[in-house]
Amino acid sequence: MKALNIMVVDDEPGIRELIRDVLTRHGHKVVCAENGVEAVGLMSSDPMDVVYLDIRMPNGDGLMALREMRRLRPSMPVIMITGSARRDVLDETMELGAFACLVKPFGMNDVVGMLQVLGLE
Amino acid sequence: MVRFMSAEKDPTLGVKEHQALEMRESQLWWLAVLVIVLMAAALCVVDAMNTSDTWWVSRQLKLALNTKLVRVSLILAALLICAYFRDSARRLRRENDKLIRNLARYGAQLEKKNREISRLKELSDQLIGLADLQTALDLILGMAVEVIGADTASIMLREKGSDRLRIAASHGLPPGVVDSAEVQIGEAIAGLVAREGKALILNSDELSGEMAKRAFRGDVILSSVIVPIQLDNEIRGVVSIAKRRGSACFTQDDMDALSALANQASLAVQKMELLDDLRSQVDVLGATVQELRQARAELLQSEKLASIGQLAGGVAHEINNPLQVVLGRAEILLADEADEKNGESLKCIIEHTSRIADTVSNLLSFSRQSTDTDFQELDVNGVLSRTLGLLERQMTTNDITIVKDLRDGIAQVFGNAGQLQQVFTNIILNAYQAMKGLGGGTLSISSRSALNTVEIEFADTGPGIPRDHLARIFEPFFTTKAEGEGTGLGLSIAYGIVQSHGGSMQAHSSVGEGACFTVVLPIRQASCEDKAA
Repeated sequence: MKALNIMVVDDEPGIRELIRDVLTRHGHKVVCAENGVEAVGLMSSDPMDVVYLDIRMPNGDGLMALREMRRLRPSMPVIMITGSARRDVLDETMELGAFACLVKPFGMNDVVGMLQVLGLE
Repeated sequence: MVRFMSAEKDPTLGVKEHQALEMRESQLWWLAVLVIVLMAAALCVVDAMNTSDTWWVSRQLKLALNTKLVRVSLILAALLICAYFRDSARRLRRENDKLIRNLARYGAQLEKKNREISRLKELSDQLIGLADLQTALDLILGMAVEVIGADTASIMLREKGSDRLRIAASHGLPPGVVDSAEVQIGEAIAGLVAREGKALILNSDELSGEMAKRAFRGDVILSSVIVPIQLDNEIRGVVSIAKRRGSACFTQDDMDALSALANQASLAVQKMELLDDLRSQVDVLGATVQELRQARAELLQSEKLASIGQLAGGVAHEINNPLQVVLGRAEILLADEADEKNGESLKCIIEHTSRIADTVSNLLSFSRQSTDTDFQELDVNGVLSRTLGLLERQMTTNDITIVKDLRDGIAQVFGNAGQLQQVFTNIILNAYQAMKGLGGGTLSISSRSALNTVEIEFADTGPGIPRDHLARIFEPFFTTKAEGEGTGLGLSIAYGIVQSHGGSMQAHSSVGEGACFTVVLPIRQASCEDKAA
């Protein structure tokens, strides 16, 4: 199994580290960003295979970051993370091209399961 | 004010006649005295003639008075004078009797008028306390019959804006006449009086030509009086009374008395119209107050829900992040834990963390505004059927019978099928839990269309809800369930969803008589149409 370059973007350090640890245990290389601006910057310099992106963040809204990512790397799958399953928000992320949405609190199997669904694992 | 014309014509008539009689009696008395004195003088003279020494009577006079002719003439004169006195006395007695009879008649008339006045006053006092027009008119007619002495009586009234008179009250008339009598203004006697505004006395025997043709039942009715009922310079009807043949005709006094009663009828009509206006305004006011109260209660509830919703949304979001960390870390530890006991503990942490997550999810559902644009026209019966499909088996397993009365072809509502299913599920599950405790029961679910709404009713045979609980049943976090068996948010969420659909939700219950929840949804909701567009 190929080790993937994965970016986790969430303003909550606990969430970032949790997802990072879960993916690292599966042999993937994970970088973290705490806001959308930082995330877009990291993505521009290092190509990523998958991004886990929180929707609601200060200093760079998740949806703004999603639009930039889709513009810069249309083929890169983005998995949204949200604390609120509001249909209108979910619909907008889907329209912008997100691959899927994980609603907190989600299980760790769901995190890894997304990679399997993408066929990357 | 009642005016009696006959009494005012000559109030001193009886007094003058009495004085004249007294004067004549006095004259007669003095005349009698004079005659007696003359008779006595004559007798003295006659006696003197038979005596020789009456120096004051001349011999010639003695001779003249002593003849038989003179004696007879004196006797005849005395007899004539007595006859005259007798005739005069008889005439005086007759005139005296006539005077006494007149006085008695006037006294009777006065007494009758006094009675009429006191009866009119009684009528006025009775009418003051009445709030029903029919009763007032019946009283007035009863008075007309009793005081004036009519055989039949009726009051015809004209509705505002109409040109027809209809009988509003009657006495002594056949039911067929009462029900069918309707007169155009200007036609028939009653219509003429209503048009001209002048009272009328009609005596059948005096009628001729056109009036005779227009008179009603002239072969039976001898005399009738019709007076107008006037209100604010407008003729609003007529009062009619009639006497049958065999009695005396009505007089001017009777017409005056009836006019006084017509005034009372006019006041009664005016009072009732004012009362009706007042009643309808009070009704409108009452309905408005009720609507305001309801709106205020709904506003308070909405504000409460909104503020709690906002708070809930913020808290839920803040809880989700640390919750995610706890859950995730526990799962990671469990994956690595070889020790069974530690593994069980971690499973317990995960289970209870998931419970917290469910609560937070409900809280977020509650806090969510109705910005869901997934509204469409849907069939409520279809949503109900799908909901029951998920729950029916569970309910019948616990001896709960479901009785459905879902009307075919009910109007469609504009709403969110998922949210409505959540509402119905919540209500049905509450009923299920209430009846399960009693070992079973019946849940009746019905749907029907009303004017602009669709109503869905859920009635169970559970233990019922106490009144003090019923008042709070839609409050967030209010629950009667045991700890850990419910968050108390289900019904408040359901309430909020129904409100966001523009509808309403009500609960009725008594202890021991089950509970009934009614959901009312509008057939069309403009705001949702706009959002969907």
